[in-house]
This record gives sequence, structure tokens and C-alpha cells, in this order.
Amino acid sequence: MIEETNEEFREEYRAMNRRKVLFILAFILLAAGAFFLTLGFGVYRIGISDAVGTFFDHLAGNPVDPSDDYYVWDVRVPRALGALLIGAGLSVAGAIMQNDFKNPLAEPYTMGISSGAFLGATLNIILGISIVPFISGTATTVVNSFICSLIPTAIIVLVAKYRRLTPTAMILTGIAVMFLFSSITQIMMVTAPSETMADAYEWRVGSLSSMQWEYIPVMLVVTLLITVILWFSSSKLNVMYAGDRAAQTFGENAENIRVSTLVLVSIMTAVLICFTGTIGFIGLVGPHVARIFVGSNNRYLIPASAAFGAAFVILADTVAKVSGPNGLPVGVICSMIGGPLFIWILVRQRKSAWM
Amino acid sequence: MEYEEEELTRDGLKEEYHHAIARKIILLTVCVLGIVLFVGLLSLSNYEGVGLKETYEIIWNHILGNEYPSKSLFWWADRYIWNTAFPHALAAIVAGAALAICGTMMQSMMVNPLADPYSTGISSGACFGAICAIVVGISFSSVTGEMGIVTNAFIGAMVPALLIVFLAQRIHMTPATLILLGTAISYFFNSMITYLMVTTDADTLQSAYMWQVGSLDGMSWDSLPIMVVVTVAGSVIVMLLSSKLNVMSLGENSAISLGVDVEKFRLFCLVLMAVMTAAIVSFTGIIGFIGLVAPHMVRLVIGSDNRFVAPISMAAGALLLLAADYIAFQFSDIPVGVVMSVIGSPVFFLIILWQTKKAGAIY
Amino acid sequence: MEKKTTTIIAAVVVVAIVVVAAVLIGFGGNGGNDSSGDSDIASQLQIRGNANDDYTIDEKDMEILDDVISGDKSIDDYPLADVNNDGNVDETDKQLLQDLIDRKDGTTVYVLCLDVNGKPTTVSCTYPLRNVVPYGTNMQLPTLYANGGQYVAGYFVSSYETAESSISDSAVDLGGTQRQISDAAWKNFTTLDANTEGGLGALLVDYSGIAQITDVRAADLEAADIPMIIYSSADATSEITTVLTLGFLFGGDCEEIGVEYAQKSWDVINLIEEKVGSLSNDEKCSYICCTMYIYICENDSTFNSSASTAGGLPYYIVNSDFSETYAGDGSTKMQSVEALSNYTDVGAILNNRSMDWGLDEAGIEELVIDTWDHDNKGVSSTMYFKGFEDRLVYINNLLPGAVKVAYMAHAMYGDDFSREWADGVLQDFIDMGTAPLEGQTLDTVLAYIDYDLYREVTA
Repeated sequence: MIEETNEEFREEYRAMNRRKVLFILAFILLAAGAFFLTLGFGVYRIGISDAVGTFFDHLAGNPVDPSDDYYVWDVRVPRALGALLIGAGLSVAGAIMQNDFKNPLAEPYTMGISSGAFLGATLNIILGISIVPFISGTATTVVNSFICSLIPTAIIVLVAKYRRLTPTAMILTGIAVMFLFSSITQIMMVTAPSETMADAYEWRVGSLSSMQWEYIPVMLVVTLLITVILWFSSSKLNVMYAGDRAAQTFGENAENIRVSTLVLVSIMTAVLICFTGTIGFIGLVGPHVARIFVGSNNRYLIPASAAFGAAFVILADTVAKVSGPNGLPVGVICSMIGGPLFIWILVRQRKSAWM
Repeated sequence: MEYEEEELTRDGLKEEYHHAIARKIILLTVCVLGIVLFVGLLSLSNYEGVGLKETYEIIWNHILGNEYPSKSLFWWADRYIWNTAFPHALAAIVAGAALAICGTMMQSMMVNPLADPYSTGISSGACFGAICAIVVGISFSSVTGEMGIVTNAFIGAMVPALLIVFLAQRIHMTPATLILLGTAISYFFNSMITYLMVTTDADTLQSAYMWQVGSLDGMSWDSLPIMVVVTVAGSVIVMLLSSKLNVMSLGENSAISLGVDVEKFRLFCLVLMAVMTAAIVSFTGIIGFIGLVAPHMVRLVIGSDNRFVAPISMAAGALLLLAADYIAFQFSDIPVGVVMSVIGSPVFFLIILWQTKKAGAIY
Repeated sequence: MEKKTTTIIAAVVVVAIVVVAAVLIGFGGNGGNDSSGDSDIASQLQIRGNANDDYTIDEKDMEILDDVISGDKSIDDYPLADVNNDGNVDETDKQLLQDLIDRKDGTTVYVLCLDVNGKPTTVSCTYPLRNVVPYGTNMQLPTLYANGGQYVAGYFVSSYETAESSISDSAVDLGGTQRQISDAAWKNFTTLDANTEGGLGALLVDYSGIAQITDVRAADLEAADIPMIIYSSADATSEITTVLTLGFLFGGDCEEIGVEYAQKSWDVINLIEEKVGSLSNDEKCSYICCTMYIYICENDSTFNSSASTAGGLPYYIVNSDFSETYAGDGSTKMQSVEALSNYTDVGAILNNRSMDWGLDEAGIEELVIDTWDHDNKGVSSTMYFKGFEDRLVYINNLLPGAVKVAYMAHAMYGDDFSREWADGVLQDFIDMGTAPLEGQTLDTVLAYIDYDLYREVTA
């Protein structure tokens, strides 16, 4: 009798897991579909089927129309790949942050990464300063923002080393660091001429328009590597979700896991946003929607967030491409979807762990 | 033996009490003197050859109705002092005082040391209103031009306030929910602000951004009546409520057991604060950190009794904004909002670091 | 129940306050000032007394005045005959005009310009105009082109070291930026007025910066009797009249320079009109103007009107999609490298960029590369103009309007207007002795960048 019930439970559990895997597969299919869909959108006029055809023609090695080929293969494909990677990477980062801080409103930028990245980018866009000598030209903004975006995390890790920081205190420290960096950026912004100021502002909003083939390998390798590492440590992360005390009883030091995942997530976020600017809300939206479908088990949540985030950003970018006079930065679309969604999460949540 | 000890303690207490009183008086005096000093500095030292003595002379002559020969240095100095420096300094005082007392109220009411007048999303609403006027030229009222921005900002700021008032009927409003709701509202407005900002041209973007940062430049006498009336009326009410605020800062349960209708009171405070803040930011833009920093500075010195913190932090806020304004003035093209955030953000950082484990406690 | 009532009361209070505040502010802030019915009546020298609307004020104007007074001519046809702007033409006008013809010091001149709302108006100042303060690039350069640098008492911003070097050494830097006059800068302005013998002559304002002249500042100017001469002079033709008018007001050699500047400019424009003005739209070369590297100028922008003066056909007339996308009078930033991809049939892309001069060979090379390959947040300009290289040119925006127009004409009609001709126009303006270009040669001024020059430099 007991045997049977066990068996039933096991069966049900397997079915549930199968369902989760199916959801993940569905998200992946959605992202792939969106990838082909987005190739047909933009200012340059080309139908979706023609665009997809051009894509496969290029893969097969015999591009037909050089101008079609240029706009599809050299402009839209890297942009679409960039969207997939940004979406996947930031969503995973968001999932980890929410898990680490047991806070539904945590996201990759909670530690102030965005403000650091923005400071670095502004240094070049407005003042023309390169932090690393010998770098010039279009790479400067990227390198600057990458380096600066790691400073806030470094500060928090350092503070955490000397003071015991509760998750809440860590978040607050992140906000404080963000204010510090923003005030420096603000000085540059208000004294800049209007066109460079506009450039800087747009960088903060975040756009995929500067995506190029050269950027893809770095983004791909880092995102893939870190996501895989995080996925393999999902059981540890799950334990942490149960609380610091619970983690201790399982023999895990919650603080160590928190700090090390924080560093990993920061690196991934920094690598992604230094190419695109600080696109917001992905890290909040991705994991939330994924969690509705697959629950909080990180083994499923991480891949599901990645797949859903990728699909979300690529669709948002498709919308961005067709709205506005000649397109809009994708960051605007993300925040227009993300802002109301945030309110919805809040209403659903009712009570929360923030502060 | 015992008797003696008690006597000692009583003496000690008495002495400490005197000390505390002395500290309060000293702090208030310092603030007031500082305000006088900076008002002087702001109206002074602007015209070469017009020193302290001459400035008083000019002011005195203006009151007497004497006029200087047209276009002379003293004539310009007179115009400058009355038309630019005084409204400017007065606006700094009023804005600083109003934001500081609102900050005090928020921190006590929310039982959260990090709350400030902008925590409920008022600033983003105001910002959205102003940017609508600057970028799209949409006016929510019949008013256009310079005042169109002000009116828009004011109406925009009232949206979050109304929203909270209406939601309060449906949701149980804990301080945490309120702050979260504020965050959500500001996210919502910010996304629309971002949309407006990226679709406009570079020059308009710049003026919109400048408004957002907050500045006291170009303040005229016309702007002052509303700011002053709202601030004076509002702060009198806050001071009358300060003992109730003390009870609130002990926490919701204690407040209830001491007979305060917590929710009604909180709602009332929120509306009061919304009106005060809106009246200020619609003229100045979103000058940050005063409401956060000024009350903390005061509490550090005199403790957290709101009956004293409220008025003294008004003085401190006014002084702080005046000083920041003076610094901004020295750099000529930097708006005061930037100076405030340069001063305020490290202080915020220190508040976080100093804070003990019991997040939420106010000293 | 009670709670609900409180809430409703609170809501009503908030609404009431909003309404009251809106009404209060509405009454407080609506200082309506009606502008006079002045229409755009002058096409050349914007001075009352220039009755025949030509380049100068002379005996011919007096003849018209006589005719108007005798009733042979109507004031409606010769509105500028009303020299003192009092609505009728009589002996006092004649007397004033005689003083103007004699160029008598201390005469009151009535100048046609814009008011703060952009409507035509008349302001008065004293001849000859001295101690001016120009505000905005589009006002500062015309002042200097009229050799008025010597009479500049102060300036709010000077971003181009060589081009604006003719601002007198004794002029005071008042602070402020291209788009902002802070209270501190305004205080410097008033100090300057107090310290200047006889006060400041006029504040010359570029209309695009008018927002900085707030009500308080306008009141200051009025009280101090400092006239504010406002022009919207970004467009090439209105720049000419601005230089001409300022030259007249400064008097002496400035007037000569102003007249010569205007004549030369109109010669260039008329020549272009003669050669390509009669072309049908199909034969004309279509153009898209750009500015700030990757901003596309909208249909009604001033850059477009300059390019149309150069004989071009704005692309929005050819392409309705473009016309819809870029409606307006400002500029729109390209959001992706695809932005121009559907407009491959455009004849020329005229990219305006302000480039200071006084360069050596290395400086020119550096500037060419920085312009052509400009880094726009991680994407080079070349990516945005891919496929348009042979039609893309950068034209120096600081040059006199007619020189810009000449280079634009060359870019669009290379066969009719050779590079040598356009260079010749620039050389003419250099030789004329207008102060900003003094001492420059064709080798120190980077006027025009095309693909050939870029390849030559990068080779």
C-alpha cells in the first residue's frame, strides 16, 4: 500500500519535472522563432521570409543580393544574437540575485553595477578619457564601462569582508554605492554639450544598435561559462533559498556562496552591458515569469530564465525596431514593459522582504 | 549611601538635561547664524567693490526708496540683490526647510531611516509633468510658458499622492508597502520619462535633464508666495503633530497601543507631505538628499525627539541647501542639485555603514 | 466606514489644492504682451530708413521719403520710410534719416529684428553700436564676420579658439554655456554694463537661445535700457542680412565689410540660382542634411533651407516615407546603421560639422579621420553611411553662409560648380579681410571633406 503511494508520488514528481522541461523547451522554441522573426524587422525593407532565406543563403555560403546580405547578416544577425545573449545572461543573473537575497525585487543592477558601468561609459563619451592606456576608438567605451562596473561589486565584497552584512544591508550598500557613482556621473552630464550628453543618456537607457560580430564571441563564452557554472551549483543555491540558517545545517556557508555567486553574476552582467548600455528590467522580468512556470528550483529556474529572458529581449528589440521614427533603443521598451510588471509583481506579492 | 547615589544621579540627570537643552539651542543658533551668513554671502561678493557695508547700504536705501543713478554698479547691485539674490536665497531656505521637515516626518512615520520626501514617487510624477511640458509642450492646464512647467509638475506630483490615497482603501498600507508602491510608481513614470527623453532632440533632452537635476537659478519673486505659504502652513501642522510622530517612530504596535489611529494618521501625513513637496519641486526640480541628510544631521546632535528635530532640521535643511547653493554659485554653471548629490551620497553611504543590524531603527 | 470618509476627504483636499494652485499660478503667470503688427518688411538691411530695401542708407532713401511725404508714394509700399517707427512719415523722419545718411554719432537707429516670441519687432539703439554682447554661435560668428569683434565687450561662451579669436582681447568672459546663461553669468553681464563707459550698447541674441532670456532678465534689460537685438540667423540667407545689418550699426570699416560680405554672398547665391535654379525637380540633385555626425536634419530645419539655397532638392519632397519619418524642424538621431538604408537614391548627403581653423597638415589629417570615422558610442560613423561614401561630404559649419552654400553646390552639382570655384569663393571671403578668416589660407581651413580626401589622408 505504502509502496504504491510512493510510486504514485514519484510518478507525479516525474510528470511535474517533465512539464518543467517542456516549458523550458517551449521558451527555447519561442526564442528561436523570435530570432528569425526579428531578422525581417528594421528600417531596411525586406520581408521575413526573404530575410530568413538570406540568412540561410549566407550560411550555405552563397549570398545572393549583397545589400540584403549586408543588412541581414552583418547588421541584424549580430544584433539578434546580442539580444539573445543579453536576455539570457541578465535573466540568469536576476534569478541568482533574487535567490541570494531572497528578495523578489533584486536584479543584476541591485549591487550598483549599472551605475559603475555608466560612469565608465560617460568618462569616454563625455570627457574622452580612457581608463586603460593605449586603448582608443570605439573600444574605449566598452573597456571603460567594463572596468568601472566591477568597482561597486568590489566595494561590497570588501565591506562584506570586514563587516557582517545581512542581505538587506548588502542591498542598501549597493544603493549607496549607486548614489555615489551617479553623483559623479551627474557632474559630467550637466557640464557636457548637449549632443554628447544625449549620447551618454542613450547609453544609460541601453540599445542593441551597436552590436557587431566582433562582440559576440566574448559575450557568448562568458555567458555560457558562467551560466553553466551556476547551473551546476544549483543545489547549493536551492539550499540558500531556504535561508542562511538552513544552509548552515546543510553544511554550507551561506555568506561564501552569496559572495562568490555575486562575483560571478557581476562579471557576467558587466561583460554583457558594457557592449549595450544598461538595459533595465530584464533581470527582474525574466526570472519572475520563468518562476511562474517552473517554480523556484534553480535546476529548472536557471535554464528557464535564460530561455525566457532571451525570447523577451529579442521580442522587445523587434518592437523597438519598428517604433519611433527610425527605431528606439530597446531599453525604453524594456522599461515600458518592466515598469508596469514591477507593479503587478508588487500587488501579487503584497508582503515583501525589501528592507 | 543609597540616598547619596540617588542624589548624584539626579544631579547627573539634571546636568545631562541641561546639556541636551544647550545642545539644541547651540545647534539652532548655529543653523540660524549659518543661514544669515550664507544669505549674506549669496547677495554679497557678487559685485566687485560692493562689500558687506555697501550691501547693507543698498538694502537700507532700497527700503527707504532711494534710487541709484541708472546703470551704475550700485543700481545693478540693488536690482540684483532684490530681483535675483533674495528670491534665490529665500527659495533655497524655503525649499531646504520644507524638504527637511518632510524628510523628518517620512522617516518617523515609515520607521525607516532611509525614507525621504521622494520615497512615495512624488518626484517622478513631478518630473513626468515637467518633462511633458518641456519635451512635448503639453500643458495639463491652461497655463503656458515658464509657469506651464511648474503647473504641470505640480499636477504630475499629485498623481502618486492620489494613487496612494485610493489604494489605501484596498490594501493594508504598511510602511514597507508604501515605499515599494513609491518605487513602483517611480518606475512607471521613469519609463515614460525615458521614452519622452530619447525621442526628443539633443537640446531639449538637455534642458529636460537639467530640470530633473534641480536648480534654483532663475527663481523670481513670483515663484515664492506659493512655496512660502504651503511650507509655513505645512510645517506648523507637522510641529503640532510631532508628539504623535514620536509615538509612530516607536513602531506600529506601540503606536496603536498608545491610542493612535495609525492608518488614518499616516494617510494624513502623506497627503500633507505630498502637497508640501510638490509645491517645492515644481519650482526647483528634483533636488535630492536634503530630506534624507538634514534630519539625520540633527538627530546625531540632539537625539530623535521630533518636537525638536522637526524645527531644527528645518533650519539645518535650509542651511544645507543654502551652502550647496553657494558652492554651486561659485562654479557658475553647476546646478545646485548636483552639489547636493555630491554632498548627500557619501552621507547616505555613511548612514548605511553606521547603521547597526537593526535596520529600521532611528538611533 | 469612518476610514473611507477620511480617505475621501483627503482625496478631495488634494484635488482642491491642485485646482486652487493651478488657478493661482494661472493668474500670476500670464503676463501677455502683444507684439506690434510689424510684418517681415525688410529683406536686406534691417534698419528703418532703408526705404528702398537695399544694402545701405543713402540719398535714394531720402528721395523715397520725400515722395511719401508729398503723397506720390504710399507708406504701405515703403514701410521702412517710417524711420522713427511712429507710424507715419514726416519731417522728423527726414531729419533722422539725414542724420543716418551723415552717419552722425549718437543718432538713434531703429532696427528691425525679432522679439522674445519670435515675432518681428523694432528696437532702437544708438549709432554707432559699441560694447555689444553676443549670445549663441549663430550670433557670435555674424558679429565677427562684420568685423565687430573689436566692439564686443563680453561674451558668454567662446568654443572656437581661432575662428572666434577676433573677439577683442579686452572682452570679458561672462561664463555660461552654449545653451545656458546662469544667474552668475547674468551677474557678470550686469557688472560689465555698470563698468562700461556709457553702458552696454546691445545684447545680440541668437533666437535659438531665447529661453535663457527669462522674464526677470528681460525686465533687467528694459530697466537698464539695453536693447536686445534678436535674429534667427542659422540659415545662410538670414546670416547675410545679419552681417549686413550689424556692419551698418558698427559703422566705419565694418559697414564696408558688411556690404561687401552681403554683395559677395548674393553674387554666389545668384550665380547658383542662375545655373541650377531653373532645373526641374527631376533634374535637381536631392540631398539629405545631417548634423552632429549621425543626426538627420528634419524637413524644416535651417540646414535644409541653406542646402535648398545651394540649388538642392530636399529629399523629403522625393520620398514620402522620409518626409513622414523626419517631420519637424530639429534633428533626429539615427537609431541604427539601417537608418539610411531605404534612401539609396538620394543625390548627396550634406553633413554639417563645426570645425575650427588655424590647422597645420597633421591637424587637418587628424580632423578628417576624427570626422569620417567618428566614434558614436562604439559605432563608427562610416557604418551609418555605408554605401553612401561617394555621396557623403562634411561641410564646415563655421564658415560664412555663402561659402557653405558654395561647397554644398559643388557637392551636388560637381560639373557646374567645380571644387576650384568653391575654393575660390572661400578665398574671396578670406581676401575680403573679414576678421575671423584673417591670416587663414585654404590649407589652414578644413572647409570640405569628401571620400577622396579621407582616402588620401588614410592612404
